[in-house]
Amino acid sequence: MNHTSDVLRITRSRTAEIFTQLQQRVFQETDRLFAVLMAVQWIFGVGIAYWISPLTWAGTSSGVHPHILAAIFLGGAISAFPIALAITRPGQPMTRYAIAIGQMLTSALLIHLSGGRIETHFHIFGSLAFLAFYRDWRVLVPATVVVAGDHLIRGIFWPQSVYGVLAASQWRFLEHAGWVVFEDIVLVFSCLRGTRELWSIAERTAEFETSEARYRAVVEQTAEGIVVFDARTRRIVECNPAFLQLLGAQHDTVDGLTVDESMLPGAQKLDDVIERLLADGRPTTVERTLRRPHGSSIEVACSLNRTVYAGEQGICAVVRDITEGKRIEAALEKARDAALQSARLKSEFLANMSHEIRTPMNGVVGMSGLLLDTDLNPQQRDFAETIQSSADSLLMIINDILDFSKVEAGKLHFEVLDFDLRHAIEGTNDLLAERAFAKGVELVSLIDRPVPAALRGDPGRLRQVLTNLVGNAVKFTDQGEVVVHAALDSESPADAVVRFEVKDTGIGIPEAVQPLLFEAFTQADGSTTRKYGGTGLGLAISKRLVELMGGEIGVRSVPGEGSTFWFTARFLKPPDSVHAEDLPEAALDGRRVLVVDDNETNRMVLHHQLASYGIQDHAVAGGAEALSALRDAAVNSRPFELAILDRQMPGMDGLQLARAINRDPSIADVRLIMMTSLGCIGDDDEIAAAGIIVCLTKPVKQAQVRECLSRAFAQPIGSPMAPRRGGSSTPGQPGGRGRVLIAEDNIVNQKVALLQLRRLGYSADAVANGAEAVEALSRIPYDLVLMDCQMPEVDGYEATRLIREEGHIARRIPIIAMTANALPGDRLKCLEAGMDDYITKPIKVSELHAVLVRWDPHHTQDDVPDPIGSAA
Amino acid sequence: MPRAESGRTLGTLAWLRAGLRPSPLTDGSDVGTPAKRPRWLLLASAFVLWMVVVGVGLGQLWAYAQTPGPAARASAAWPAATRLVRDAHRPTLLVFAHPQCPCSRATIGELALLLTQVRDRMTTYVIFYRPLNAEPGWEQTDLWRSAAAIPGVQILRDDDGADAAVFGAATSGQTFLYDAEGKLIFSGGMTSARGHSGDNVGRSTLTALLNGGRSATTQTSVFGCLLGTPTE
Repeated sequence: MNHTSDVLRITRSRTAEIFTQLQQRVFQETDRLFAVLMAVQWIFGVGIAYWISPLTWAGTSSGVHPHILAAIFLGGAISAFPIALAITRPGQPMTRYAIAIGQMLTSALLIHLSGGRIETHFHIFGSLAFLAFYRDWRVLVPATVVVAGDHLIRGIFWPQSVYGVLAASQWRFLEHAGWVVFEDIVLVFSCLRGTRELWSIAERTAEFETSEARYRAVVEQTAEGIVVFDARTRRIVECNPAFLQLLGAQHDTVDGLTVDESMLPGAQKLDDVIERLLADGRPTTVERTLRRPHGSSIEVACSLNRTVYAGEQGICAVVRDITEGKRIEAALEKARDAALQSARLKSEFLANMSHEIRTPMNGVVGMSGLLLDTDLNPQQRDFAETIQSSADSLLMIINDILDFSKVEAGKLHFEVLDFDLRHAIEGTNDLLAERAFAKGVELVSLIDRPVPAALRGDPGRLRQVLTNLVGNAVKFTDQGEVVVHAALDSESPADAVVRFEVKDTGIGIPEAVQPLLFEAFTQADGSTTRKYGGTGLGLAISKRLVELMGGEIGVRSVPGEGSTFWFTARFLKPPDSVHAEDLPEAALDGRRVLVVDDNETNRMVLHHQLASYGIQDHAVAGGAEALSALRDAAVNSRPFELAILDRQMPGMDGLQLARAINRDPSIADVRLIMMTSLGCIGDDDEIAAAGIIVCLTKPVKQAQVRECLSRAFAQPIGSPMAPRRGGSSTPGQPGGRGRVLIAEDNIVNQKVALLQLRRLGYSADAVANGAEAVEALSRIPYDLVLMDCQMPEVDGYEATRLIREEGHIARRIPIIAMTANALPGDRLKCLEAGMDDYITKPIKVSELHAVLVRWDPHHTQDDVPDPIGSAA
Repeated sequence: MPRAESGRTLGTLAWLRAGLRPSPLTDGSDVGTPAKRPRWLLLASAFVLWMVVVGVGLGQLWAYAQTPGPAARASAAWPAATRLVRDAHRPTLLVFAHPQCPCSRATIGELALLLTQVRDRMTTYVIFYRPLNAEPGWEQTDLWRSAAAIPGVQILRDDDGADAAVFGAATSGQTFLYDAEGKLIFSGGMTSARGHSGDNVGRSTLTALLNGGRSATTQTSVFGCLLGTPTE
């Protein structure tokens, strides 16, 4: 049953109750009325009898007329029983039936005593009408029965007394009773109408009670105070128990109290609030202090609204105790302030620690670098290199610890830059390629075609994770390969989730340890620390970074076979992003190329890269297979136009194969590209003599492949050119040009910059913030500074100002800003801070080279390229 | 029927039922409970007793009202010894009444009613009894005055009931009708009971006789006080 049905049911039930009560009251009041009437009638009857027939005569003798006795005794008997019932049992059915009978008997007696006067007959009709006061038609029944019975009996026994004839028909009584019945019919309708009116009254009363009860259930039971006060006088006219409780007062003390007397002044004048409310009618809420007895008070929130109470304009206020809320709010503010203070202290601690630790470490690294630039004997050089590598290792450990602290403190900053995913991955591989090559481990990267080339995110953090995973893979792999694979996990018009996998053929990880790997300070084995080193924080940091990039991280590993570390990351897509699926260039489309590499992964990666250009490639694992394939193709008139040869192969290496191809006239026209590792820098003459057109440096990059292929196919057949290293920056001699100081807080960006500078032939040191840069410049004569603009503690702008102001830095050292913001105003800001030029992140080697040439004092005028600043 | 309508209809039926069904007891008494049965028994007994007493009383009263006085010992013709003069041209109506008799008030009322219908057809005398030793004016009661006020009625005083004795009237209200020849054609009363006005056989018989008709009834009971003391 729903709420409406319940209310209806309750109202009907209550209506019946009220109706019964009202009806009962009518019965009782009418009973009492008739009791009085019958007593009066009795007395009146005695009077009538005395007046009309006081004596009976016989000649001169007289005696009391029997009518007197009848009036007194019979009249008394007729009236006594109904009167007694009316007094003792008012409202009972027996009472009113007895009254009805008694009233009719009284009529009969009165008629008799009055001598049958026609006027006295009206007493019957009048009595019936009086009986209708009961609004109970059943009362008329016994009265009518008495009248009918009287006529019936007298009609039988004394017909002349009733009808004036000696003998009447047996139904003659109906003629007299019929008039009574006629009146009865009218009176029955009157009774029923009276009952209906009574029922209507009961219904209205019940509805009012139900409505009142519902209103009171809400208003009187609510925990919030409700008060109504007169809009003009501001005096309280109504309130509920909750308000009294809030006020700590009784109802009689509140009556007539003004709202101003009950409240302390607040920030808003109550009069103004009320006037505004009365004017525009918009409900409003104010906070005030409510006065209570004995001087106490509580804070309340009052929601005010206009109302009309008893015909007068009033204000209804819902008052809520907010004392506890205020207290909690104050406590929360205090806790928030304490938390902010704690966070600030934590940040200061981190900053101080970072500064206090890095500053001397940078000094050690810088000084050991300077020492190595001097003439040292082999032993001294060995000692200095040991100091430098130890310092590098210690710095790496410190950076890990500070980075982890930043992660835990939530102080990591994520940049939002547009970057090329390919460059990020290949750049990471560049950092670790030398280490991998030194161990004889192949380092390969593969990016699936559906992966968008241009993404928006923090390439630095991505490189940080990749560096950690690839570095671990190289560290724990003694032979075989490390493959970095990027695939598209999911994509939407606005973003893309990329899945990265770093797969190695290393020592593997026991299954029991795998769940703990990403916990801080955990390594696979305690002996791992002793053999391979490390703090155990790298994976924990990587996990946090991946989670902050909206991804997940995990591992699959089989001890003795290798491991695959995977993670996903969500990046936004710049509006004009394109997929890594490059359109095939017309010059390469349809070309036939032979790939010769003993490493299956390399063959697979090259096939993927060549196929993206529409090249028909065929791969073989060794020199003999290659010669056979070339000859067969030539015989079948489908010669290969180009062959990519791996330098390092078992049996016949790449150079030997190249010479063999050149000696065979049937296949001597095939253009040759050599893939070399980083360690093969000194083979240029040998490679050129073998007819190699161009070299590809491992790890092979997509762009490099295209560049080399284009250059090779552009070369006429039979005219090998001096091989040039495709794509890779020509590594310069350490210390061959100037010394550069890099001020960059991101460790990976530091490493990238260091590598880029080294390849360009510069010596470089890195510091993590502007303060360290100022200090380093005060001790070491750097030729140029690459200054990151956004750094903790002292940013690039402030550091530049300090450097320019510092008196001990004698000459004006060129300061080049590295900024993520490429807006015109940023260049001006850099120049105003005292910087000389700027380059935008992510930094391209060519741009870096250009700006260094422009500003490095060791470069001659001929080396100056077009300034890039003009492009801003 | 929709709920709102059913609610209203239900309300209409409810008051109708409330008006038609027996009202509940308000004292919470349950007739059926053993503790309440004696009270109901007592009540019922009291009611029955009351009805019996009232019935007996009323019966006695009605019986008294219907008890006629002694009938007249009337002669069939106009008595020669009377001092009253008979009208030789039309009937003569004689009504004997005790001036103090309350029951005869109705008789005089019936006489007035009769005369409104047949006044000119008869000569009417009302003879009021007066004892010999009665004080002067004893007989001139409101009954006397009521009779005297009736047009066409001659009021006579019957000292010591001599005239009543001649005609044989014994009861107040006794009425005689003699035709023009002096023959008694009606003897009796003009009320249906003691002091009871209204249609009665006597008046209707007299009306019929005086209208020239016939009547099966020539004699009715007379309800009233004795005209003389029983010893007389």
